[in-house]
Amino acid sequence: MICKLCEDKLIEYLYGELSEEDAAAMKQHLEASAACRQAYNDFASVLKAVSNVEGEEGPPQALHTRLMGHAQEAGTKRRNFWAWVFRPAVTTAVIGAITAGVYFATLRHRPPSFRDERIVLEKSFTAKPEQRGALGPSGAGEKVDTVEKEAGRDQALPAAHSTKPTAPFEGAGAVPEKKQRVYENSIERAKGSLEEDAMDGERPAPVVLSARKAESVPAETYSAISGKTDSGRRSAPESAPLFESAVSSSLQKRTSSKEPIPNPIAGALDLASEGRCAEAEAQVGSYATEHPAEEACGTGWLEAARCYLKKGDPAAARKAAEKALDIPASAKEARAFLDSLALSAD
Amino acid sequence: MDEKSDEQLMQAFQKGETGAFETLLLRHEKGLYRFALRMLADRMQAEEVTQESFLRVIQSAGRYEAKAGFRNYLYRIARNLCIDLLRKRPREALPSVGDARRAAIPDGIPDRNPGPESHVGAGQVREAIRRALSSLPADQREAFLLKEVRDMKLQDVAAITGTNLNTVKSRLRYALIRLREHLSEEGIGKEMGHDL
Repeated sequence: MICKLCEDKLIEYLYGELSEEDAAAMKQHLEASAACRQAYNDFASVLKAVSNVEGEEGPPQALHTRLMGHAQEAGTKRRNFWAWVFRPAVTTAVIGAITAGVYFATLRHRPPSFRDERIVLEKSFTAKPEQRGALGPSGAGEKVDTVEKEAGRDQALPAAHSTKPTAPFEGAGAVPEKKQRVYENSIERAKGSLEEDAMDGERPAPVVLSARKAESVPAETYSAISGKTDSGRRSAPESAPLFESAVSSSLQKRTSSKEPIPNPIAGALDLASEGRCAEAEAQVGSYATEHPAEEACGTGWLEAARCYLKKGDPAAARKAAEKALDIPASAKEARAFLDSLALSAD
Repeated sequence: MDEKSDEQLMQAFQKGETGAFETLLLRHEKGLYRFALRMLADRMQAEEVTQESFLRVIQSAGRYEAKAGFRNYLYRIARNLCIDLLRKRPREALPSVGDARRAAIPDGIPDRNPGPESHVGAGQVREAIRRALSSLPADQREAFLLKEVRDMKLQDVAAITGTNLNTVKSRLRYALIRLREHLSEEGIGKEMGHDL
């Protein structure tokens, strides 16, 4: 039976892991205590017996050889890997890939307002005639409305149009907080954009947005029209003329036309926006029989032409646009459209 | 003599220096094999554990961090492999005297320091020790055998076995008591006396 001290320290003393001071104290204790000394001697004899048979056993040489074979193979692979990594072609490819990654990441992380403004633009072309009439010339209500619709993604809208952000997600179950925040931010941005437009009459929002919609519009065209620069612009020459035409069309409408669009033409525009090109063209034709030289007819023909073009029917688009050539107010725009059509056909 | 530490050698091996690995192998293969052999009392399995342990070192060399002590890392792998093999054995198939005899060292090899017990015969002593070790519970046996590895501290044993210092000391004390009893029954070590 050993004492508490030996229970705690005897093993460390036996293996020589006590500090000099503790070892001296333990030695004194063992000299004084016969039971503890006996325990120590028993343990030490076991260690000695075991250590006496140590040293002879070893793994077979074949094991050493096999392991070295594996190590050499792994070492060769590792050296080859680093040699491969530092080859000029690989280094160039890696740098190129990183550069491309940074470039595309920059494009993807444009200010979020860009996407929202594109949505506003697209929706503004498809707004119902009654909405167009009800909304003022600035289109303020229209913009907010369309943003709300888009942000709400088919959620029920409030009954009255308001510029006050209304949460379309209320009562719609568990809607992510992030989505709600995006909605609120988009409303704020739309409001901010409207305030800018109100202060800056020379750069009507739809024109700027038309230009911005066109990632494909060359930077210089965009800058000339909008007075803004966009360093992240990509170019797509084959579609640029069409968007240029759309931009100039919008600009012309905003700067020269002071008269409201007649309802039949507005209806035709709706039809065109819904892709019902033939019906739109027929409706414009019907109105044009009584008002052959009216500017709205030219607008209608051109919308029908764009509708055909979107549907992939350039021949029909050309025919519709040619009708607009006969209307003085639309002739220039129609000519530009036809030119761009010819260019894209080439 | 290579004065580089195990950790420095591992870093060199990470860069593809095979010679560094060979130095590590020469340093540790024998001790590791002996540990596995005494844990398992089976030469084939001991060889398998030694090979697998070093293979894992080779395969994971890229992920090795110098702050982790190499020897503890190596023995932790080997210890886990031994435990896995022991678990797969049926309870009644714990290392037997026959296994121990097969794993025993050939009688022709002389002891380095023939002690008072040498009159029993070196081969018999080895057999008796093998049987005594095999009779220990696995946790006591692994603690005792790890502490037998050169320069292995109690704290290292605790780290490798995933326990604390007091548990290791306790396991060692019980292991020594049991070994002493077993060896006494075999008539070994009774004559030994030790200086304090």
